[in-house]
Order: sequence, then structure tokens, then C-alpha cells
Amino acid sequence: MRLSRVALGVALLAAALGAARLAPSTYAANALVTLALYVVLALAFDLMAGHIGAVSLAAPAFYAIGAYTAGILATRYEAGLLVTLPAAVALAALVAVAAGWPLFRLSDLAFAIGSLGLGLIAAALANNLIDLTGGPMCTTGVAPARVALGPLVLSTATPRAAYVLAVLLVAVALLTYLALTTYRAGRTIAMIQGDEQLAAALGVNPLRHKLTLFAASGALTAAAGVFYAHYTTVVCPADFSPFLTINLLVMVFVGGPGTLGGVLLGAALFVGVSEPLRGWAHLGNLLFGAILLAAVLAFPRGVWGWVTGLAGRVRSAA
Amino acid sequence: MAVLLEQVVNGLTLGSLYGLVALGLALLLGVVRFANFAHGEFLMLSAYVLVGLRAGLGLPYGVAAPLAVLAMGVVGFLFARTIGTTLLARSWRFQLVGTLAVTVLLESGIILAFGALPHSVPVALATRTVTLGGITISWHRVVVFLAVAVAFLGLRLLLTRAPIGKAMRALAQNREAAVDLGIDVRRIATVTFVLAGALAGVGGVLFAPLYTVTPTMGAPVTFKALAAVVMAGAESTGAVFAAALLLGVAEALAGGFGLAAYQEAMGFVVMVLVLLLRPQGLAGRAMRV
Repeated sequence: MRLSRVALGVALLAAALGAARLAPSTYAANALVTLALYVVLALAFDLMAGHIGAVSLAAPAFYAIGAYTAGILATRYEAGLLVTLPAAVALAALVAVAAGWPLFRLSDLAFAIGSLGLGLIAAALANNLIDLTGGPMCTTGVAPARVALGPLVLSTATPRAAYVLAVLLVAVALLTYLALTTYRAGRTIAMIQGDEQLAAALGVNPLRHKLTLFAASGALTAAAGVFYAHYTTVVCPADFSPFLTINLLVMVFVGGPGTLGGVLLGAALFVGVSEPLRGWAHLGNLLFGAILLAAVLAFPRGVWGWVTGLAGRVRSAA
Repeated sequence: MAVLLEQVVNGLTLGSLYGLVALGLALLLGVVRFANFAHGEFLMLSAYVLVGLRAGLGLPYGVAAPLAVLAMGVVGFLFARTIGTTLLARSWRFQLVGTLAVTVLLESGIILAFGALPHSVPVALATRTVTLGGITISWHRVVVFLAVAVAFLGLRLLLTRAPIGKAMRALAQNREAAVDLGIDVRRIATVTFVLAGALAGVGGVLFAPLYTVTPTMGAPVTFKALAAVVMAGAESTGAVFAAALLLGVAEALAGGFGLAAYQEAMGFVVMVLVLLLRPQGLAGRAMRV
């Protein structure tokens, strides 16, 4: 059973890596990289929102921590990915634990608004700590990542090369997601979400588990930020607007929160719908809003919930 | 000293406008359990209705403003009967995403109709000033304070004296008992949406002559109104309004004393500080959603 899952994972990874060969153009490769980054961000978001009901709107803060850590270390100290990635991940996890401590004392909605504040404060800092971030003039000239593993060279210099690295990042994110939401850890957080007081009475420390999830979510988000900084070579405050949070909310809640299939489907639907609409400017936004509203109204458990429900009905009818 | 006082007056103006939106948000949350992340957009919409009525029909401010407020009441009614009804049955997380969709729709719709450039709403009262206690303020600000005071006291009276207001409070306090006593939840929900829409409408028409009217002006107001509601920590209109005033003053002081760049984030800094000291919020009782 487990072996077959590992084999399935390896096959999927190989297929995902092969997709770059099929990508007909740089545009397509770039779209695949965007999709991969969104998958990582959406998995990080769903770790919290889908499994302990804590809707963290702080994604821009952690994304900024990752991107600026990479940007600053790479431009000032010529640090490579093997330095910027661990540094950003550690910093993000620390910030998550420090911010989570007071935030998790709040009720559901208050937690969301408090974390929204964290994102807005991060954007204000990015704009104003000009000596550190370059402010609105951005941090420019971030060197692309380049890691040589023997004959295999991983790099973010071109969209096709970056795609391979992005797929590896997705694989790490998936493994983290599964490690924290399945088996023993998954049953523990399911218990916390079901009845926190009961879980506490049974000797589980809810705060510790929530902080672990927040730290993992923040670290994955920061890792995506590191990748983004090396890939685009420019880091600007505008990259960390509340729009990022809105996109993640849309992917996870339209796809289906708390389910791996829902998160992946949501990210794919989001990129599939929003990319073609981008050329239409404001009319595209209007259409996007209409499609989103229709999806939210029509699918109470997300599109994935509807698909699995449909599959269940077909199976029981057969 | 006069500079400080002036900034405080600016902050109270801004805070009272946040307060109108925050009161509507708090009513929707408390009475009908609806998290409306599009509520600041109603303020934006009201300002554009005002712009349209003045430019299109040539109506003076004194006529166009009440009409815009009325129109926002109608928008509240339509919202309640369409999107509101469907989303009421969902968890607040889906309400959040659904109302974000409404935000995107309204913002891009307004851009298509009015363009992305800012509009201004000049009124005669905004240029005439009065000097009170060493500081000079425009008559329009006096109108803002009076109108907000009337709206706030009117809402208090409605909630404490009128049967419909009592029914709203009953629903907020104990939904099951209120339903058992025969309170028509659907009707109360509609009334609450209309009230909340009209309150944001009042905010919009008062806001427009003071600042510029832009399609994206709604979202920051939503954020601050949400912060005020969370900071207040209870479904008490007084606490919500006081929290909104506190946010407005904190923002204006930050803007006036060299922290203008952090003005937008200031409200959240205050909120986080308040919640660190009092996780249950200013008014004491932990918030229920």
C-alpha cells in the first residue's frame, strides 16, 4: 500500500517534470511556474484554513519575508539559494510562532482580521524601510538561483529550468502538507478542530499544534517567496498586496478547503480562468468576479466536494 | 497644541466615517451572522451614486445626498434578497469569499462605468470655515459630525425603543429563543441589510466632499471597520463606534506626526495592541461568530 503510493508519487513527479519538455513556449513554461508557485502557496494556506479553520490572511507577510530575505542576502552578500532558502524559512517560522502566540488567543474571525493586519503592516514596512528593501524602487538585480548537484544543474535562469525547481518545491510542499495532515498528526489536528476542549482534556496541547501548522505554513509561503525573488530577480512592495490573499482564498474555498484534491483543483481552476482574462483588463475583472460569485453560490463545499459527491452517487448507483 | 487638536479633529472625522461602516458590519455579524467583506464597497458605491446624481441630473448636494442614502438602502434590500439569502446558510469563511467576489464585481463595474480616475465632489460648505477654540474647520466637517451623531443616536433609539430594533437585539442575544418566540428571521435579516446599507450610504455621501472618490476606496474602509469591530469585541454599538473613533484618531496622529507612510497600517497596530492587552476586546465579552 505505502510502496504503491510512493511509486504513484514518483510517477507524478516524473510526469510533472516531463510537462516542461512538452511546454510549447516560454509563455507556457512561465504559466506552469506560476501555477506551481500558487500550488505551494495554496497548500500553505489550506494547512491552516482547511484543517484548523484558522483563516490566516497574513500570506503577503510571509511571502515578503521570503522574497526580501532572498533579495537582500543575494544582492548584498552574493548568497545563493542554499543560504537564502534556509534563512528565509527559519525567519518565517520564527515570525509565525511569535505572531501566532497572541493571534491564536483570538476567536475565528478576529484571528483572520489580526492576521490581515500582519500582512498590511508587512506591506507598509516593505514600502518604507527604503534602506533595507529599496521601497517603491524595489530590490533589483537578484541573481537567479543556481545549484549544481553533480551533473544536474538546477536554476531559475529560464522559465523551463525554473519549472524543474518549482516542481521540486511543490513536492516538498506536498510532503509537508501530507506529513502534517494525515496519520497521527492529521488525526490530532482533526480532533482539535472538532472539539478543542476535549483534545486539551486528553492531553493534547492545541496551541502547540496550531503554532506548528502556522510555522509550517509561514515557512512554505516564505520558500515560495525565495523562489519568486530568484526567478523574477526583482522584489517590489506591490507584490505583497492583499490581492495575493484574495487569490489564495479563492483557490482554496472554490476548490474545496481541507482536501488535497480541492486545493490542487482550485489552483488549476484559478490559473486556468484568470490567465486568459488578464488581457481584458477591467472587463476581465468583472467576469472573474461574476464567475467567482457563481462558483461560491453554486458549490457549498467547493468544486472538489461536488465532484467527490457526484462520484460517490455514481458508485452507489452502480 | 492647535496642530495636535486639528489632527484629533481630522481623526474623529475619519473615525466617525469608519464608525458608520463598522456599525453596519457589527449589526450584520451580530444579528444575522453575516460577515460582509464588501461592506466598505457600499460606502464607495454611495459616493459614486452621489457623483452620478450630481453630474447626470445636476442635483445639488443637499438633494443628491439623501437620495444616494436611500438608494443604498435599496441596494441593501436587493443584496439581502439575492446573495445574502444564499450565503447566510454558509460558514463565515464562504461568506468571506462570496463577499470578496462582490467586491471585485463592484470595483470593476464602477471602473467600467466611471473610469479609474478619481472624482471630486465640491460642496460650498467645504470651502467655508469656522474657528472654534483656536482651530479652523470647514462647515462640511460640522455637517459630518452632526449627521453622524444623528445617524448613531437614531440607530440607538431604533435598537432600544422600536419593536423591530428589539427583535434585532433578541436575535443577536439568543437566536433559538428568538425564533421560538415567533420572530421572523428573514424579515429581520432584510431590515438589517437595509439599515447597514443605508449607514454605509451616509458614510459615502459625507466622505465624498472631504476626500477624493475612487473605485478602490472601499477596501481600506472595510479593513478598518473590521478592525474596529474586532477591537470592540462585542455587539455593542457604543463600543464599536468608540473603537472606530480610536482607529481614526490613531491614523490621523500617525499621519500628522511623521508616520504618514504607516498611516494605513496604524489602525491594525492599535488593534493588535488592544487585543494583546485584552484578547476579549474593549467591551469585555469575547466575540461570537
